Amino acid sequence: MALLSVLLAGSAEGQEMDNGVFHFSQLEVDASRIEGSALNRWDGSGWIGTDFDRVWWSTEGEYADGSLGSVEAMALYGHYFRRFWDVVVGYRQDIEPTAQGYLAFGLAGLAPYWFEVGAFGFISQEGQPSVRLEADTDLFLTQRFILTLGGELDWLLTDDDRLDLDRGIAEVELGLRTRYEIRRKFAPYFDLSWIRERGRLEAGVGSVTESALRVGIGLRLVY
Amino acid sequence: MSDSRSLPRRDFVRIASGVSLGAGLGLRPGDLFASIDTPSEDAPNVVEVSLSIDRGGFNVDDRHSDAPMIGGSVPGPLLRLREGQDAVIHVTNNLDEVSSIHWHGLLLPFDQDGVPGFSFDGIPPGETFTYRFPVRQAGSYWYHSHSGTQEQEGMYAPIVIEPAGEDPVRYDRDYSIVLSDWTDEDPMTVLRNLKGNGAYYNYAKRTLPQFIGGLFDDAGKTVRDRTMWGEMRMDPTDIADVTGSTYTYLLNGTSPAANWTGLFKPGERVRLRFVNAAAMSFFDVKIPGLRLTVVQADGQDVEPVRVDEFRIGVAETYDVVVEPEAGEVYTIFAQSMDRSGFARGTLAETEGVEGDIPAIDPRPVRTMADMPGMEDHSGHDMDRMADDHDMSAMEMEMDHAAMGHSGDTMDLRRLTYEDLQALEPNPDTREPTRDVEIRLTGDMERYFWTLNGQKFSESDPIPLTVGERVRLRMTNETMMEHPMHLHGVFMELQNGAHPAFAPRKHTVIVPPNQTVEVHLTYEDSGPWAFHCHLLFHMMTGMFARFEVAPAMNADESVSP
Repeated sequence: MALLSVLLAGSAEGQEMDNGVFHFSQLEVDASRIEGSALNRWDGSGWIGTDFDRVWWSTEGEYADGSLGSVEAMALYGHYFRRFWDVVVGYRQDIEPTAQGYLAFGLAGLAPYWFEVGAFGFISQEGQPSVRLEADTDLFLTQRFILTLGGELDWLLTDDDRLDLDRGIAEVELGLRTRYEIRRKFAPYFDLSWIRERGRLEAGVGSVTESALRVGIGLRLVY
Repeated sequence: MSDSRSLPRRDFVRIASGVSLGAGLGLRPGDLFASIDTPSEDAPNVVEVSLSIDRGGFNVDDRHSDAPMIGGSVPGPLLRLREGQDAVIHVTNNLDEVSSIHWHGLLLPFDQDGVPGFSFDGIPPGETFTYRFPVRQAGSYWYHSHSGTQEQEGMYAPIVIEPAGEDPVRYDRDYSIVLSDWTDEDPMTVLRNLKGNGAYYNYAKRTLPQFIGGLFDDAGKTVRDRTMWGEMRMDPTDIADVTGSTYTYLLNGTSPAANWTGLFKPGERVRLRFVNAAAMSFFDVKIPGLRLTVVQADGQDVEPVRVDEFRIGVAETYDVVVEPEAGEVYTIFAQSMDRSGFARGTLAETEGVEGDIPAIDPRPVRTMADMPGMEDHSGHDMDRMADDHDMSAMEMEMDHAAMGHSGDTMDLRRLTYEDLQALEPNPDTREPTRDVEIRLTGDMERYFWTLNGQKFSESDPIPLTVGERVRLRMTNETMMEHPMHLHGVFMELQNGAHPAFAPRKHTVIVPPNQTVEVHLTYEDSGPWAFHCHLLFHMMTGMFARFEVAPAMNADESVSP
């Protein structure tokens, strides 16, 4: 693979190395409370590759009382096809609450007004399509005290028997996160999110919609 | 290689051999340059020098790095040559990686230019490469590694070439003043940080409180302004990719705290040979209390211009003459363009004294006019460089001056490219017959940089011919200044001066959203490198190959 040969060529020597392999990883872990009960969460993402071709990965999950809540992981190949944008294709695996694999594809990049945006389509192993939109932007209160506004929406395009959900919006999350960058790579944060989701709060019962506020404190680590 | 021919008016340490110069003599690195000046009476026309490249400890204040160094110091030893000599320079690479030395601004055969992949394969670990070239010019230049990130780490040094005839510049004493930026971070980590976040080192971003404040001042303007920048996904505070948040700015390898000092005697005319050897930093240089007479730019004599301040882009050189007065102590103050720090040194009659350190000037911010496509490229391209402060910055500066901080800031005269005019007419004044258009492009967010939208590895060479008169137009479609360096030839900067007196430069700053035109005539064939001299721009693709073929027939090689 071209990627591997570039990787093996080692540190930059000569100009042919102008598209070398770099990597970026970010992990956020926090302790939250939702509707009075404790919930711990992680959210990791990153990439490895050249400026034009990268493998993007992400994982997010929850656990409480020693057991896992929802957990998913995703690995995507991304190609830079125009300024600010990557087209991505890959695989998503849900581990909890229902183990399920998906074909994943979409667009990721920086939209005008500094919104980091992801728009993904998924086809589950049962053949059911869904869509996810996510966006966030940073507002600088000071140079190190930074407010992130974020939102995510999951939308089932057909009924999903496996998840026991009717089609429609499955989940909406709006978040307000304030972090303090002690260093760029080390930032404690305070998180306040509003979540509206179906089915998951009372698993097994379809079409139950509940909203909740979640508050948490956590740590962002960048490598 | 004895030092039989001394130059009494010079104050440099002279050493017989170039190996481990500074360290061996117990000099603090950069404290005083070790000068290599070895013309012998036996073969006055051949100068033979040995340099070694070794990795060693280099400390700046309380920070430490393990740096590749030329001759054991940062900067490396001053290389003093004379026009008309034949230089023979043995370079031994004691690193465990490939290295190289490029003679920045020198006209020489391409295979002596020291660019791996162009001139040769580089100098493998443990081997010695001997450079041989005739010295065809005079002036102040510099030399540096052209491999990996070695230049950022510490492999750079000044060159002074005495003219064969009389020097048009009258001076009693000279100093090379090498400005640079230094970090204890591994430069590859710096680049990796930028790949993850283009604003990683920017701690001067616009904030929400500033936005709200702006709403009170002029809501419409503030919203329009933010909207425009947001729409373009560009940041008006992006003046430097890497800033004083990791860099310490050095003057002759010395931190502001350590205070490099150059001595003078009252009544002397002191020539300061400024070299910007930084990897990523432009500087605005002034010496409060002294007028600076600019006599050379990029090693080429210019009509003297008296200024108070000049901007020096990465890889440029400027020679200025100053006349310090008895009893005074002067601060050489070189603030980084983004104002995140400064390098400083002192001119004094004795060691161990220091003058006032001026307040750092307000940060410039980009304006709409810097935004690609926001304005046509005609008109007074050149003067904008000096006054790209926004209104509030300008006002602040005026207030500052009005408060009488240092009497003459009010009419502070900054050098612009339009002030530069060659002292001697250029040898070739034909109209160009060949046009080369190059767009300076890139993606700040993804953090890679290109020419005509292509990385070097994707691009085709640009074919030229020896003797061909070329018009090169560089159009900057990014938000940053790019110091564009062309190897093997001088670019005659079309700055409005009479073309015959267009200043000859090896490195030309192209400001954001502007087009700069240069004319040139190659005398030497070969593959020649053309690149942005910001190290991380070059490394990520802002690089091209000029393939200069030998002249086809005699007619084409005429250069009147």
